[in-house]
Formats: sequence, C-alpha cells, structure tokens
Amino acid sequence: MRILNYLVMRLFYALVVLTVALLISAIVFNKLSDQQLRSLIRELVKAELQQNPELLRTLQKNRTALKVWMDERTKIYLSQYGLDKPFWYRVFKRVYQQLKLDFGKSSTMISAGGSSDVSKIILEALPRTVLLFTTGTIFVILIGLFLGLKAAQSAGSMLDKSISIFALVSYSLPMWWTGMLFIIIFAYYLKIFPSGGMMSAPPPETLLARVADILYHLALPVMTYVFVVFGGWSYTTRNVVLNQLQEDFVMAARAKGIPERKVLYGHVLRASAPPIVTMIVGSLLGSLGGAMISEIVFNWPGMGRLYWNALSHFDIPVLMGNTTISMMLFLGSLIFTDLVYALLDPRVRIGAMGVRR
Amino acid sequence: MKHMKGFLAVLIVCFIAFSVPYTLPVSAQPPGPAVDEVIIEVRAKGEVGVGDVATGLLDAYWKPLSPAVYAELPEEWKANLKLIKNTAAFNGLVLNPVHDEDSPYLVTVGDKQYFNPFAIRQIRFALNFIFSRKFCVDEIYLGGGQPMFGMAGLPSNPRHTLVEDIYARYGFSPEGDFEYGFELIQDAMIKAAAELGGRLEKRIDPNAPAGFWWYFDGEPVEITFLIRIEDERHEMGLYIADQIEKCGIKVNRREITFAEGIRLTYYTDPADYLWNIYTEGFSVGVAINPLYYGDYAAIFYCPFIGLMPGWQEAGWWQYINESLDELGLDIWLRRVDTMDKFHELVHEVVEMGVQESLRIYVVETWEFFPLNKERIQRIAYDPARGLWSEWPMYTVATPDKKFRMAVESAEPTVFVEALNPLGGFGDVYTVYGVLVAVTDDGTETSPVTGEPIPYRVNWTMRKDAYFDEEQGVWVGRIDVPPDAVMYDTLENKWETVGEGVTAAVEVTFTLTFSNFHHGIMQGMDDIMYAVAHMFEWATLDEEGDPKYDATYAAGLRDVLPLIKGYRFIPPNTVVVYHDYIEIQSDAVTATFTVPWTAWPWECMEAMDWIIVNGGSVTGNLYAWSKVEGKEWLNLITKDHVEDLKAALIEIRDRRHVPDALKDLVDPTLAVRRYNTAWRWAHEKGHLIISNGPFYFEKYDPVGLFVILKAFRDPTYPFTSDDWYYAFRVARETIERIEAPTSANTGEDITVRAYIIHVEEFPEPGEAPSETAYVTVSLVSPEGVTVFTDVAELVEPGIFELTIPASATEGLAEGSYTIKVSAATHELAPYAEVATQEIILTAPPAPTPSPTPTPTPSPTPTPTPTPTPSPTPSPTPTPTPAPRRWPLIIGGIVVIVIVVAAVFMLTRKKK
Repeated sequence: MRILNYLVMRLFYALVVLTVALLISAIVFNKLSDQQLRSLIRELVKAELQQNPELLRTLQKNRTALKVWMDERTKIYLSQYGLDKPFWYRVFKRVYQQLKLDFGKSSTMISAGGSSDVSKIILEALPRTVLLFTTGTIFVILIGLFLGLKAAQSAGSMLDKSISIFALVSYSLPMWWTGMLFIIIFAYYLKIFPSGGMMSAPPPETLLARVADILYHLALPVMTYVFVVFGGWSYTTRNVVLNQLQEDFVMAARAKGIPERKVLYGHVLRASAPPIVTMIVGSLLGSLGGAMISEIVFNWPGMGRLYWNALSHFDIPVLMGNTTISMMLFLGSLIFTDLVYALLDPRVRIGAMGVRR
Repeated sequence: MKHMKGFLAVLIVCFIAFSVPYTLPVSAQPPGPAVDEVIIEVRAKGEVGVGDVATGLLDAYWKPLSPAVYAELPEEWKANLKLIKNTAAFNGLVLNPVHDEDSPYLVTVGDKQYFNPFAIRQIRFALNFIFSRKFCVDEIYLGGGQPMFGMAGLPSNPRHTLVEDIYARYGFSPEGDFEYGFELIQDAMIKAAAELGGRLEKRIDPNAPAGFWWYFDGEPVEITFLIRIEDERHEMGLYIADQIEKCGIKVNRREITFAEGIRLTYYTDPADYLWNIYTEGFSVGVAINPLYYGDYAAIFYCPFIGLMPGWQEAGWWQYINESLDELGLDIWLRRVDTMDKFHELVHEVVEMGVQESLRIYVVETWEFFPLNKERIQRIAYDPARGLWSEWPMYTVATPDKKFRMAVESAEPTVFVEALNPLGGFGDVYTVYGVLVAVTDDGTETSPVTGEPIPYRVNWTMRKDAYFDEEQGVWVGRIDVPPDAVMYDTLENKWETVGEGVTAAVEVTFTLTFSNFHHGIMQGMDDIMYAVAHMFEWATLDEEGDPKYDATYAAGLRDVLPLIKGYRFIPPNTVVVYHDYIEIQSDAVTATFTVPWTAWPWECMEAMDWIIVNGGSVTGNLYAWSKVEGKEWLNLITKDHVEDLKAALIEIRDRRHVPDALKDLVDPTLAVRRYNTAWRWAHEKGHLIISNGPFYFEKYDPVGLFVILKAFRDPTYPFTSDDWYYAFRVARETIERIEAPTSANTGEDITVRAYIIHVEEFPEPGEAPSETAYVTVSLVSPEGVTVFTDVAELVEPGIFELTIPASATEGLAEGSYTIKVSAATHELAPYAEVATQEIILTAPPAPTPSPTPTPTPSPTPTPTPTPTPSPTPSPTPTPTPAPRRWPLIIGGIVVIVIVVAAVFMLTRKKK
C-alpha cells in the first residue's frame, strides 16, 4: 500500500513539474510561433494581392487604401490562426493540448508516410532511434559493467590503468568524428560495412534477409557508439564498485571464505546497485533522444535528426512535441528510478514518506 | 557426291542463316534510356556522399559541393571522380539604407537616433572597393567561383559582357582599391559630420584598426553585420567586416544561421534597424541564360519586384527609386521593339544599380557534382547547370545498366516537396531526380543556345504584329479563325471565339504521341483536357470557386490573357493564337504556351475529384499547393493514393466524363482509362503515370529510396542514341589572338582569332572551329567598348575581323584592349573571352607613319570571364590535400592495441 502511495505522490509531483516545464516551453515557443505565423500571414496577404492584378493596380495608386486593405486581410488571417486571442490564453491552450498529447500538425515537415501529424512524425523516428541507440546503450552497459567490475577488482593493475586511459581518450572523442573515421576505415577502405542508412536500396525480399540487412547497417553506428561510450561507463562503474570494495561487509564476506566471484556479484554489486541502476535507466532513456550529428553522419533518420530538422525549419509544433515527449521520458525515468531505488533500498521509501510520519 | 552436295547445301543454308543478322542493318536500340534502372538514395551529409561516389558505393551525388569538400579528399579518391560544374548562384551583400524622412543619415528607433552610414550612397558605393573579390575567390572559395560586380545575369552569362564597361568605368577590379574606397567613405563621413554639427565626429584610438573610430552622439558608429555561418559566406563576412572596421566604422558581427538570417533581413521592417548588412546568397538557375540577363537586372535592382529593402511590404519603410522601376518594367514587360533598345535599357538599369549599390555583388559561386569516373561511361549535362538539367538522366550509361545516385536530405523523407503536377515538383531533387526522368515535355531547353527546342512537339510559326509605342505593347494583325475555341470556365465548355479576334502570332504544333506508362495511348483528348484544366484552375469564377488554386493562378497571371484561341485538328495538330512576342528569340515566342501534357486525363480528373470533394477513405482535405489545414497532394503518399484509388472507382462507377471532354470521349473509353489507372495505383502503390523515358517503379518510405525503371514501350519515340547524338555539349575555346600590339589611330586593325571547337558530348574531341560565333571588341583605357562586331570565318579555325579606320579615328592615345569572345552560338549560355593589349598612338604629323605589321601576339590574357576546361578542377589554388593514411593507420593501430590490451589483461586476471 505504501509503495502505491509513494507512486501516486511521485506521479503528482511529476505532473506538476511537467506542467511548469511545458508552461515555460509554451511561452518560448509561442513567442517564436507568433513571429512565424505573422510572417506567414504577411506572405498570404501579399500573395492574395498579387493574384488579383486589378485590385493591385487600383491599390497601388493609393498607398493608404493599400494599407487599409492589407490590415483588414491581416486581421481576418489573424483570427483564422487564433492570433487574435490573448497571448496567455494561447499559452495555456498549448500546454493543455500537449498534456493531452495532442501535438497538432507540423508546419513544414512530413513523415516518411507523407503525414504532417506531429505524433506520426515522432512515432516514426522514435523506433529508429531505439533500434540504434538503445541497442548501443545495452551493449555499453554490459561491456561497461563487466570491465568496470574487473578493473575495480584489480585496482592499480594494468587493466585498471588501461581502462582509465581508454575512458579518457574515447570519451573525449566526438561521436560524429569517430563515426566519420569508422566510415572511412570500415566502409571505404575495408569495405566491411555500408557507409550509412538503415537498409539496402532495394532491400532483400525475404523477412529474414531483411532483418539481417538492417543488422548489417546497424553494425557500424552501434560500434561507433559503443566505442566512444563504453570506456566512460567502465570507469564510472569501477569507481562506484571500488568504494564498496573498501567497505567492512566486503572484508567480512571475504573473511567468511565466500568465493571472490560471489563477493563481487552477490555483495558488492548489490550494494553498488542504486547509482548503477540510476545510470542504466538514465542512459537507456537518454538514448531515446538520439544524437543529432551522429544520426546525420550515419544517415539514420531518428529522433536526433528530427530535432535538428525541426530546429532548422523553426517547426514549432514538432519542437514542442519533441520537447514534451523528452520531458515525459525524463520524468518517467525519474519515477522509475525512484521506484527501483525504493525496491532496492527500503530506506529510500521510508525517507520519501517522511511527511506522513 | 550426292552426300557432298547435301553437305554443301546444309553448309550454305547455315552460313546464310548465321550471316543474316550480321549483314542486315543492326536492329535499332530499344526505345528509352541507356540504363534499365535508376536508384535514388539519400545521404544526409555531402562528405559521405562524395566518399560513397569515390569508393564506388554510388555512381553520382545529385548535389554540387564546394571545392573545400574536394580539397579534403585523399588523392586516390580524387582520381576516381569526374567533376561537373554547376554555375547557378551568387553570394554578396545586401545593405539596409533606411533613414528618417527628415534626415538623409539618421534613423530613429524608439527614442534613440542612430547614424546609418549605409543611408549614404557614396559609402555604399565605396564598399565595392574596400575588399578584394580576388581574395574571396582564391582564398575563401578556393577557386570555386569568379568575381562579380553587378547583376545582368551571372558573370558567366555571355551577355554580361555587355555591361562590363560600366565596371571598368567606375574602376572596379577583382583586387579592389582599399585606399580609394577608404577616401570615399571618409569624404562622405566628413560631409555628414559637417551637416550634423558636433554629433558625428572622429575620435583617435590607437587600438582601432584605422587608428580612429567614428562617433555619433558620444557612441561609436556601429553597424550590425548578419553573417551566415553555414558556408563560405562565414569567412567572407568576417573578412569584409574587418575591412569595414579599417575605415573607422565598428562592426557588430552577428554570426547566424539560415532561418535567423532570413527572418531578420527579409521579415522585419528596415526601419526597425535590426541589421545593416546581410551576407545573402541566391540560387539563380537560369541567370546563366542570355535570354534572361535583362530580367535578372530588373529583379535585383528595381524595387517594384520586391527584392529591395522594404520588400514591397505595405507599412514598412521602402527603398524607392521610380526611375529604376520605370526602366525595369520596360524590361520585364518587353516594352521595346528592338534588341538594341533592350540592351540599352539593361545597361541603364545596371549602371543605376551600381551607382545605388544597395547590393554589393561579391562572387559567382561554382560548385561541382561528383561522378564515379569508372562507372559512368557517358553522360550529357548542361554546361552551366551541370547535372541539374534534363540531359543526365536521359543519357547516362553504366556497365551494368544500373545508375545509383543519392540526393542530399536530412529530412525523414527522400523528397521534401510533394509530387503532383500542379503544385508539387518544386525543388531541384523532385524536378531533376524524378520529373525530368518520368515525364516528357513538349519542348526541351537547348544546352547550346538555352532556347526551347522541339522535343515531343514541333512547330511552324507565323508572326504579324506592330509595336504600339504609346501603349508599349505588340498589336497583332493575324485574324483568328472564328471557329477557334477557348475554354469557358464558367459554363465549363469549349466556346468558339467568333469574328473579329486578332493575334500577333499563329503557331502550328505537330505533336508526337506515345503510350503512357500504364499502356493507354496519349491522344488529343489529353491535350484538350490539359488546356481546359489550365484555364479552370487558374481562373477564379466566383468567390470560393472549388476549382481555383491561387498559387497556380499566380504563375499563369500574365499568360492566360494573351492567349487568343486554339484549333485542335486530329490526329495530332494544334494551332495556337496568342499575343506574346519575345524580341530576343522566335523559339521563345512560338513556345509561349505549348499544347502538351505529360499526364493522362483520368489521373488528373481523380486528383481534381479528391481536391474538390476530399478523400473518401481518409477524410483528408487536399490542395495542389501547400496550404494551411489541407494535405499537400502527393502522388506517392500511401494515404493519398488510397483516396485517389477510391476516387477512380467512384468516377468509374458514375461513368463520368470530364466537362472539357463532354461529347468528345465515349464513357466506355473513360471507364477503361479509370480501370487501367486504378490497376496501376493498386500494383505500384502510387499514381505517377506519365510519358517519359523512365517510369516510377517504387518509393520506399522506410528504406528511403526510389526506383525508376526504363520505359521500353515500342511507341516511345526516342532511343538513348537519339539523345546521345542530339544533345551535343560543345564550346569554343580561343587558342590565340593575332593582332598588332601597337597601331595608329585612324588606321585599320586586323584581328585574327584561332578558335578550337571542343566537343564534350557525345564524343569528346576537338577540331578547328567552323561554326563559332566570334565577336571582336576594342575597349578604351577607361573600359568603354568603342567598337564591337562579329568576326568572319576565313578558314577552318581562323576568324578574322578588321576594325575599320573610321572606328579608330579620333580615339585618344593610350593602352586599349582587344577583346575576343567565342561561343557556339549567339545565344549560347557560355562564351570564352580572351584579351590583348594594343597601344594606339596618333600618327606622326607631317609624314604618315608606316602601317603597323600585324605581329603574332602572346597567348591571350585570361579575363574575369570564365575559362572553361573539359574537366573542371575544383582546386585551382594549389592547396595540398591533407594525407589521411597516416591518420587512419594510426587510428587502427591505437584501436587494435587498446582493445587487445584490454582483453589480454582481462584474461590474465581470470
């Protein structure tokens, strides 16, 4: 029951945070959107005038009449686009729509299927990013945990030093740069992998071959991602575990004669779990946002590229939709992490319910 | 013996049987293009695209890239590439000249007054001198362009030479003249300071680049320079900003992206004073074509078009120049009756534009498309536009008959623009990737002359009109037959024009029909439907007319009123009467409106149906063009195709015949057409059905690629050889000039030009020219052309012209320039220019001086006009490309060592 209360409280807080964050975004984006729509309206009025040569000829002789005519037409369009309503009304309306997950229509972009529905555009990009970055993140977690534990176990050894140095070097490499380097090596010189894209054009006919084709295209970007990120992960894991290894309970376990493997995985890893779980959840959810430049380099049409496109086109509905989804994922990840914490460590649960005590 | 005879008989029969195929004429090639399949992929980054081409993963990249991209490539990659030049853009500066009505210098924003130096014409003009365009071209654009001083088409436009005397007269040079520009600026500032009392003053500052700053009301005079960061304009802007500061004016460098630059410059009132200079750039596809050189002068100098500050937005501050507008309108509407007058008008506009200097032109940019040298066996392309033209797709040949290319897009789709015949196909990729491949137009543009040439229509023209000087219009004298027809969009039927209608031009078109891709034969019904459709969608019958598209109508606003009537004469002749005369070209006059369509009428009718009634499957509302609240009709989008299929079924069940074809088409034929179109849409998943050399096979929205396949229908009229030999790409190069290096005034000067005809396509080669259009000009030391005429062929490869004594008589002594220009044709979009200096002196007074003997001249000096080369090199400046091998090998070694070490050490611990 307590855990349920805890969850409800967490959800409530998340909703408040989400609403405030959306409100701030809506203010910023509405300002931008206003400018954009007003420019559009100006273009529409101008086009309307140019399409009516008779009217244009008449009005060109009288600048005041021209201005009056343009103002009238502008007013009509302002009303059509809802810009005649007060700013705050429009801001709250947008927040309400976002909370309902009603992202509306994109102003410039279309989905691969041809729809300008923002939800469809996002839902098209999200699975592609999941496929690339979430897969990569899973690899990173597995390799990072394994190497981090090994390094902590043999602190000061060559392995430990190597991992530290590698982490420093690889983590400082920009992913897009490493991607370009890998493309030159593996796609152009060794010709092992394709230079980008999600599948061959045209792709193989059978389902199995098609899956294999996608995996083949996935290999190089995932390799790049893992190469750049796993060192940092190993290093962080190593530090977390190393702290725990110096605790008394580890010494006690060792003194009892418990095998080292069991000490490491059964005792130390469990004690180190909260920060590692936080990292895992954070990384997995962070991976859903994609990576702008890397997706461009590998011609991977995911969330990062979508965000970049939306920014460069000033596509406010897509930007707003993307922001809302990111915020929801972020808050969702926090709730999830808290829940896992609560399950792993009862102190957290009790602490959180301190108000009721 | 009997056996022997029998054996011989069999042998003879066999011989005949096997030899027949070799002795008969070789059977004609299959109809259609050289390749069987085109695969269009997407790359999000040019660097990856060019890498893919160099390593054979792609055959071509359908986007031109700047020389900087190629300079980075390893040498062995460069060796795999053939580069095709694209000359269709320029970069420069646009200035904000805003000032208050009561002050020529000051602009008031809120309560504050600013001093705007660019409100002063002299300072704007001085900007032309304070920086070096040569530096920009050589060091920033790495040779990817040429200096540009003004707009009369791009400098590569052959007719641009007609205004070059203006630049020479004002002292413009590629290197610039900083001291002169500096003086002009200081002079103007001092005059302004005198008028403004103590408000504007010069204050010494040893740290300032000029040693001083100008101050207004106690604050430094500062301008806001919007500098785009995505391309070479970034460095160009920063360089020019430094030069401006060397003149004592502070620069606020705002480094911005495309969207911000456009918003601030073109979407704000100049009086808001948010910017002073913007590094603008324009892609101007046909600014290379001599036919349009005057139009571009009008577009970029005359305010009425809406491209000068103020942008013709009601309520905003406007740059007004009525003289320029008047001249520009004469050019725009061709209110002249001779070419000489036309050239004079353009010259005047350019000169006034240069004086005004609202725009400072910096560089005509050149970019290059990469092709894989090994894979591409032959390809024709436009000498100016490169691969963004009609010819490449028609003519490209590869060993395996597959052509794989990529467009550049970071979008979630292959094409950003919708594909529909009226409001789609709006960007270079949809046009030059798909439209030119799947559709055949009635005419094409000649790569040699830039004029329309017969393609699926041929014509004969009769022209009879006089020019009404007062009205500035052509008045026709041809009687339009009373039985000619026009489409009445109110009554929705064809009406005869009746008696008393006249036209300036009568064009008789002969049409070449073939099957559409779905197998239905194209016919006069398609042509009549297309003409009626044009009138229908471009005419607003009443408020809320469902068959009216404002964007489409805008494009036809000036066309429809000039059409006087049609006569449709089965099986394949159409006579068109109209009042349009393009003084520069009969071909343009004749093809003012071409009775042709590439789209079958039943598909158009289905599109009309869902635009008027909405989609019955999805409930979507549709429009031809991109409008708020409606779906932009796209013939390859799944949902849209479902609605189109439903519309085809609905009109089929109604046995519907379009209004324009009532009583002309049998409902049974209409039903057959609807069924055939539906089957196509059902099988292929799209409704792109046309009549071109390729048909649209597949669009994959997930894999992001498009497949086009060769249309090998026996009724298709062209084979790849037709195009191969029809679209010659050639140019004339000047080997040398033979002319005296000195002469007396009042004497003949004979100039000989040795011209080589270089054929780039179909068979590369060269020979002494016999067909070149060669002009010889004499240019004064001030840059004024004092004489010009066309040289004559005296023997193959040699053209000669004698500048008559009458032309040199009375000229001042000095160093003159003989300028020779050679092109394939008078209207060729490309001309090579070479020059030679000649010293003219007055003849000695008492005794006549000996006639100077023509002496062989040194190799002609190249001028700013482009000197084409068969395979343009993107890196004219010797920029050594960085070696990548050490980096790559080093990278591999480091990775291998690190990974190996990690695993070795891990294993050890186990």
